Amino acid sequence: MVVTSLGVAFAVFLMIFQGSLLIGFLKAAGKIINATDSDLWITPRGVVCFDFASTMDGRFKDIAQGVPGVESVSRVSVSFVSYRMPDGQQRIVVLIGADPSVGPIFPFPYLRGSLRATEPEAILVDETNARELEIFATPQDVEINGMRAHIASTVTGFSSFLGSPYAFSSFEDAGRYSGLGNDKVAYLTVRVAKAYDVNGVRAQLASELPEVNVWTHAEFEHRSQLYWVGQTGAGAAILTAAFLAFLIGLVLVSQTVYATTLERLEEFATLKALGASKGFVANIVVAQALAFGVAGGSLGALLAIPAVQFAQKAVAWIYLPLWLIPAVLVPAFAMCVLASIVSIRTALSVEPARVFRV
Amino acid sequence: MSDCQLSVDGINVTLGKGEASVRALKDVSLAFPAGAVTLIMGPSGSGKTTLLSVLGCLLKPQDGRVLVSGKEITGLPEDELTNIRREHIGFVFQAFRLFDSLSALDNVVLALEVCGKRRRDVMAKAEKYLDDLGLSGKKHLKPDEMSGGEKQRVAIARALVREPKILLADEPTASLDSKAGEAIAGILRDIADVGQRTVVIVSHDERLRGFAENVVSLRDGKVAERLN
Repeated sequence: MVVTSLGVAFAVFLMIFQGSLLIGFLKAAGKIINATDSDLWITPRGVVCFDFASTMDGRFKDIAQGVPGVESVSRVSVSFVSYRMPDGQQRIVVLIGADPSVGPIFPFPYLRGSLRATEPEAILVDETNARELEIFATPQDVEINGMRAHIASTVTGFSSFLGSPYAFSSFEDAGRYSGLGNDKVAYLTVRVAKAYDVNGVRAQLASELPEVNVWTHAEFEHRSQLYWVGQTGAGAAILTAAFLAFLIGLVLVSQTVYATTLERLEEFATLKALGASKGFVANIVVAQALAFGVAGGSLGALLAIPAVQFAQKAVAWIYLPLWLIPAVLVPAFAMCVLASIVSIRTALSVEPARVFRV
Repeated sequence: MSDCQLSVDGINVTLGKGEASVRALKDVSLAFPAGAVTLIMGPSGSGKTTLLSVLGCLLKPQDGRVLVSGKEITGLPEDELTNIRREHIGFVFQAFRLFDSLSALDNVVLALEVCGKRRRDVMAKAEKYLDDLGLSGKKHLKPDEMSGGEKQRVAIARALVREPKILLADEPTASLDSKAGEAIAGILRDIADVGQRTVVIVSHDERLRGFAENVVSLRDGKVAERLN
């Protein structure tokens, strides 16, 4: 009983942990996109996700601005730059520059007290990356691609899963640091005026800008998530680990329920002699397996919650939504029912006539 | 045989296969009247337990007919035999075969739950049967906290609570001391008298002859002697 419950607990723990990785991964893949206050995204053709950006002509902003229904257009740039730490070591960071109008929750180095003015040469980084970037206090002077910059502050909730930390600056500073200048942009985010239909404006933009793609906010978010989860193999790896956890639990529960059934063959024979139907006997075996599921599932869930919280120190984007726990317990219970199938057959096949053996 | 709840007619049973097969019952015909105790005796290997298995619808004979409450059950599928056991037959076993993890009361309740009854609907009935068998103060004890005689009383309560017309007992006194054995035999005798039930006892215990109207002796799978 204890070993089986621990086996189920282990399986549920792993499934919740892997599920948290997957959900966190999906959230992280769309995090920057969702931080913008945008209805539409204009991207270079063939861009598969936000992080792996290409560039397009900056004048598309003016063209887009002229389309009826477009309320505002913001420029966004994404580039990999060299970050020099105070001790002289260098790291590659993903520098994201944007216009101040990109959205109020987007990490942007506003001048203190302003939502429009930009602090010159100011960089923001996520607090979880501060230690690896050797930022022990702000402001702190650093170099980006050999140019002076300073870390103005840290932000929360914008850690990168790429391995290279995100750094946020104004669009102009990002263009200067990356060497791309201000004539090239990675993306244009578009806010549509309330009186206009988003899809109608999108069609109009696509017509005016045939060289690029125009996505709705949700489409671009899903496209980015799909790339990271599907095409990189990361999602498959996480799901495979979760599936292996399911299989481990299945084998453990199957073996124990089967062993318990063999130990109780005489009791099943007695039940059959007393007139127990097949359903009654099967219910007993399933109930026994589900008892393992409830005990082990509860334990696994109780262990997974602090484990995910602890893991957030190392993997900041891991995320455990509350709904994931019942969502994992359902397949865990299904696993227990599945595990009892062989045992049900064994219990049903026992000869009731053996009740007369002593 | 009109007053018989239970009868067999020309049954043959072979156990095992090939060279290892044994003819356990050979052309056995017997009727077990209602309201009477029939004691089946005989040496080990004479076919007593095989006969009891056939009477309890636990084993199908290769030939012959078995009638339970007037219905021929010989060719019935397993599910229907299960229904007949549930509705017509109660069992008492030598080794009691109580569920060790359940209390005396729960063991009796289980026999009704097997019939699809809900626990809360049958508690009072189960308690009454335990009370009637002198187990008022022992209902919540588990089998390993009870004496052999008490366990057998629980087993009898479990067999009777569904009010079967047929009670089959396999060596019901073999695991008991003489005093407890005599008490159990008296209870089985009363069951036949009061409920007009058919009681069939398989036993080596010669003391049980005094409690039975009919005594059947088996030898080598055949009826060797009948005493009424």
